[in-house]
Amino acid sequence: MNAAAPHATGPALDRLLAQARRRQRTADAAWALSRVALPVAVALLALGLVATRRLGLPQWSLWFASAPIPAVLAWAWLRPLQQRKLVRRIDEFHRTADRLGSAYEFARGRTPADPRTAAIVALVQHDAEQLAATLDARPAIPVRVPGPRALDSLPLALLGLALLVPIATAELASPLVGEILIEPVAQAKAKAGLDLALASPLRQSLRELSHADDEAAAAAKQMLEILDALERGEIDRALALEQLEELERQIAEAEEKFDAELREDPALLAEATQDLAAALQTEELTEDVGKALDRGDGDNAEQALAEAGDKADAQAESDEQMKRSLSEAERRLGQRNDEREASETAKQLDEAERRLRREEQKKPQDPEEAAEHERRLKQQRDKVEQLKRQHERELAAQKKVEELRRQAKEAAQSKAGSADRKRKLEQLGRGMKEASRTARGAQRMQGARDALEEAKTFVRRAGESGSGQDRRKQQFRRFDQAAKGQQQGQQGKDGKDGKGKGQGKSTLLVEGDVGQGEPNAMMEQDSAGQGQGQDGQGQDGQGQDGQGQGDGQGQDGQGQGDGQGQDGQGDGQGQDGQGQGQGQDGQGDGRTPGDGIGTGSQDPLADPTAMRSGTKDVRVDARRGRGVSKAEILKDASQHGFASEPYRKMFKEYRDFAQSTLDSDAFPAAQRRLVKRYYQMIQAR
Amino acid sequence: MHADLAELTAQVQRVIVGQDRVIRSVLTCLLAGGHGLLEGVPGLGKTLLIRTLARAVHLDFARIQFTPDLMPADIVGTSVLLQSEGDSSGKTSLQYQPGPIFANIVLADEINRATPKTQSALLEAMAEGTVTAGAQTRKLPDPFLVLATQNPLEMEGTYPLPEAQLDRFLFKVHVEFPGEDELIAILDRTTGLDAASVKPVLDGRRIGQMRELVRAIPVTDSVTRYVVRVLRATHPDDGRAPEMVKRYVRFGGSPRGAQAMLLGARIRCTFDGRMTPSIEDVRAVAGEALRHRVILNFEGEAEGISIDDCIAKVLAAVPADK
Repeated sequence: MNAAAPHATGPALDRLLAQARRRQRTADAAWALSRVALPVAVALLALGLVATRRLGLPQWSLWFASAPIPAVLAWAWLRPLQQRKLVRRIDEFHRTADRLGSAYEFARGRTPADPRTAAIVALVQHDAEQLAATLDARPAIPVRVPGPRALDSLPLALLGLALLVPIATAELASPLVGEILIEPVAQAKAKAGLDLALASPLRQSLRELSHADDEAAAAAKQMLEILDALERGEIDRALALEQLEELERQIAEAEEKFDAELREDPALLAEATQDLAAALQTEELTEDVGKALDRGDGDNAEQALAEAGDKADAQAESDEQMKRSLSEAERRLGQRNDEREASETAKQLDEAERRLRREEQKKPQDPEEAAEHERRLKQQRDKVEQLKRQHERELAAQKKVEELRRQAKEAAQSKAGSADRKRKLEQLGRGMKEASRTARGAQRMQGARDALEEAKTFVRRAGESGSGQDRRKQQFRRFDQAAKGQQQGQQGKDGKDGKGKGQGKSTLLVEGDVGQGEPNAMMEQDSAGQGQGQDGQGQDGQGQDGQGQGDGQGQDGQGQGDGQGQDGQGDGQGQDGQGQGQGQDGQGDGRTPGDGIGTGSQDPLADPTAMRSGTKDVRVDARRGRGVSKAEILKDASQHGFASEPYRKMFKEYRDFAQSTLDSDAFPAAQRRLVKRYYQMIQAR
Repeated sequence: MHADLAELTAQVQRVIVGQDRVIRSVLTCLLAGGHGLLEGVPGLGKTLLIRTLARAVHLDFARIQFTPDLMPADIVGTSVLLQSEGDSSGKTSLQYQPGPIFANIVLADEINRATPKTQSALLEAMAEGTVTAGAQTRKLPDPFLVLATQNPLEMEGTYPLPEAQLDRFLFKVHVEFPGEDELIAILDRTTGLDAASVKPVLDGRRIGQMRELVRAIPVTDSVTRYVVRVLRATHPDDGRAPEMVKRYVRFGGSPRGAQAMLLGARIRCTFDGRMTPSIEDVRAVAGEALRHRVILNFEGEAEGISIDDCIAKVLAAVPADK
C-alpha cells in the first residue's frame, strides 16, 4: 500500500456519509436530551425553585435550569464524528461486508504501488460507489429516545420536593420590580425602613424649609433628623411617630403663639405681596425688588428697592421706570383692596352672629336639652369670636395693603432725588418687608405643618408597601366614595330644625391610633341652607381620644368643610350632609350632630379606619410575577407610552407649580394636604 | 479466481460430503502456500479429502503413514547402492532415491504417531521447501503442500508435535463429525456401484498465479490493525487480553499467526467474490490460524480450557474500530 496520491470518495458515498452524520447527530441529541439534559434540567429546576423560594433569587433565574438542553444540543451538533465508524455501521446493517468502509479507507489512504493492487482498489471504490447509491443510512442509524430509568425518577422527586418548599416571605423584603411583596403585618410594623424614593420630595421640602432661623426651620430640621434616624434603623416606626407627634405639639404651640401675635391676615398679605412683586417686575429697574419679594425675601427686597431708588435719582430714564413700576404697584394693590371690600369673612361673621342670637333666644324644655343648648351656644360663640378675629385681621391686612398702596403712590409722585422720595421709598420698603415677613411666616408655619403630616404618613406607611393590590383598590374606592359624598354634600338640601339633609352620607376620615373610637362628625345646617360647621364631633363609643372638630361652611345648600383628627382615627358619618370636621379641641360625647353641612376627608387615602369593628391584621397574598402595579404603569407610560417627556421631569414641574400655588394663595388645610397627598401618590418611584 | 475456486470446490465436493469449512480451509492453505494440520477422529474423510484435492488440481500426491518406527529417510529419501542399467560390468553407484516428500501435495497421516526425530524431518521441507539428504539439498516441487492429520483421541503412544513445528502449519483445522444428512449422503456415495469421479480443474501454474494474485489483494489499515490487535490480545501480558487469556494462556500467537490470519482473510474474501477482506474475514479465520499457536499454561491444561474459547474471548474483547 505504498503509494503516491490518495483517492477520493465518490459523490454517492459522500452523500451517504453526510446523511449518516446528520442521522448520528440527531440520534446523539435525542439520547443526550433524554439521558442527560432533561434529568439535569429538572434537577436544576428543583434547585432553582428552592433558591427562589428560600434565598430570594429572581424567578427569571429559573431559566438557567434549561441550560443543559442547548448545551447537549451543541455537543451533539459540534462534536467530531468518526466517519469510519459510521460507514461500518451502514455496512453492518446492510450486510455489505465492509465494502463501503474499505472503499472509504482506501480513499483516504495512498494509491498502492502494485498495479494489480491499485486496480483492485479502483474496483473496490467503484463497487462501493454503486452500492452507496442504493443504500439509505437512516435505518442503519436509528434515532431512538431511550426509555425511562429508575434513576430518572430522582430529579422528578427533587422537583416534587422543591414544589413543597414554602416561600420565605420574610426574606423577600427587597423591593423587586414587578412584584408586590407582602410582609407579615407585625414584622412590617416593626420594620423601620423607609422608601427613599417616596421620601425624597419630602426631604427636599424639609431641607428648603430648614434654611432659615425660625420655628418652622427648627421643626424641619428635627423632622429630617427623625427621618434619618428611622432610615438608619436607629429608631423604629413607633418611636419615630412618637417623636413626630411630640414635634407636632411643638408646632401647634408655635402656631398658637404665631396666631396670637398675628395682627394681619397673612393670606391677604401674601396675595398683596405677590401683586406687588408682579408689578415691580414689570420694569427692569425694580425687577430685582419684585423677585426678592416674590420669593418672600423681604430684607433683600427692601435693600433692592433702596438701590433702585438711588439709581432712579441718578438717571432720568430709571426714574421713569421707577415711577411706572410704582404706579403699577399702586394700581394692583388698589384693585386687590377693591375686590376685598365684600369680605367673605364678614358675611360669615354676620351669619354666625345671627345664628348665635337665634340660639340665645331658644328656650330649652328640659335639662338635657339645656345642656345641649349650652354646648351649642358655646360653640357658636367660639365661632363668632374666631370669625371676629379673622375679620379684624383681614381689616388690618386691608389697611396694611392700603398703606402700601398709598406709599407706592406717594413714592411715584414724589420728585426724583428729593428727600421725600427717599423717605417714601424707605417706608414702602419697610412695609413690603413686614408684609412679606408676615405672609412668609404663615406660609412657613403652614409648610412645617404640611411636612409634618406628610412625614407622619411616610412613617406610618414605611414597611407597608406590600399591602398589595387589594389595599390600593380599597383606597381608591374610599377615595371615590369620599369624592362622591362631597359632591352630594354640596347639593345638600335644607333640613328642618336647622339640620341640613344631605343626600349622601358624609364621610369623615380622621387619623388616629388604631382602636380609638369611632368619631362621627355630624354637621348641622340651618333652614336657609347655609350652615357653618362648627364642631364635627366624633361619636366616641369607646375611645376617649377620638377627637374631631368640624369646620364646615355651608352656603345655599353647598357645604364644605375640612376635618382632621388629632388622635382619633375613624370614619365619621354625617347625618345631615357632608362635611369635614377638623378640630383640635373639640371633644364630646359624639351624640350631638355637628353644625353645618358638607363632608369630606382630610385624607381620604389615609390608613385604614380605626373604627372598632373587629378589625384584624390579615396577610394579603398578592399576585406575584404577573401583571404590573400602578407605579409600573405610570413608569412604563412615562418611558414608553404616550409621554414624550420623562415622567420624573414632568412630575417635578407640575408639583412645583402646585406648590407655588399653594404657597401664594390661601387654601384650606385639608385641600392643601389633599393636593400634596395627590402628588405624593403619583410621584416617580 | 473466484470462478476457479468455485469450480475447484465443486470438484472436491463431488467426493467429499459436507465439511465445507474444512474444504475451504484446505484450499486456503493451498492458495496461501501454507501447510495444514487436520485434526479429527478416524474415518471422517481427511485422507480422502486431500487425495481428492490432489486429483482436482492435477498435482502429484504422496501419502506418508506416520508410525513410531518411521524413519526420516523414509520421508526425505536416501542414497542406495544401485547397479547401473546396461552396465554389464556389475559396477554399482550410490544413487539418491527421493522419498515421498517429493510431491506437490503430501499427506502426513497421523503425524503425531512418528517420533519427534521423524517429525523434525518435515521441518526443513515445510519451512524452506527443500530437503537435505547427505550433503546435497534438493528443492521440493512447487507448489508444495503438506497436509497433516492427527487423531485427538488415541494419545497413547503418540508424540505431540513440538511448538516449532506446529507454528509452521498455516491452519489447524478441526474436522467435525458429519451430520445426519451428510452421513446419509456418504453412505450413498461409498456403498453403491457408482463412484464419483473428479476432474482436474487447475494445474500448478494456475495455482502459482492465484497465489500471486492473493498477495496482491489490498487490505485496509483497519483490517491490518485488527489482525495485530487480535494477535496481541492472545498474549497474557497484553493489556487488551481478556481475563481468560491472562489466566490460562502461557504463550500467545506468533507473528506467523498474524500472517496466517491476514492471508486467510484475503483468500476468504475471494471465495465470497469480494475484492478486499473485511474484519469479519479475519474473525472467520482467526480460530484456525491461532488455535495451534496459543499454548495453554498448566492451569489451563488442568482445567481443560478450550483454546477455541480463549480465541473467541479474544475476538469478543477486541473492538473492530479503535
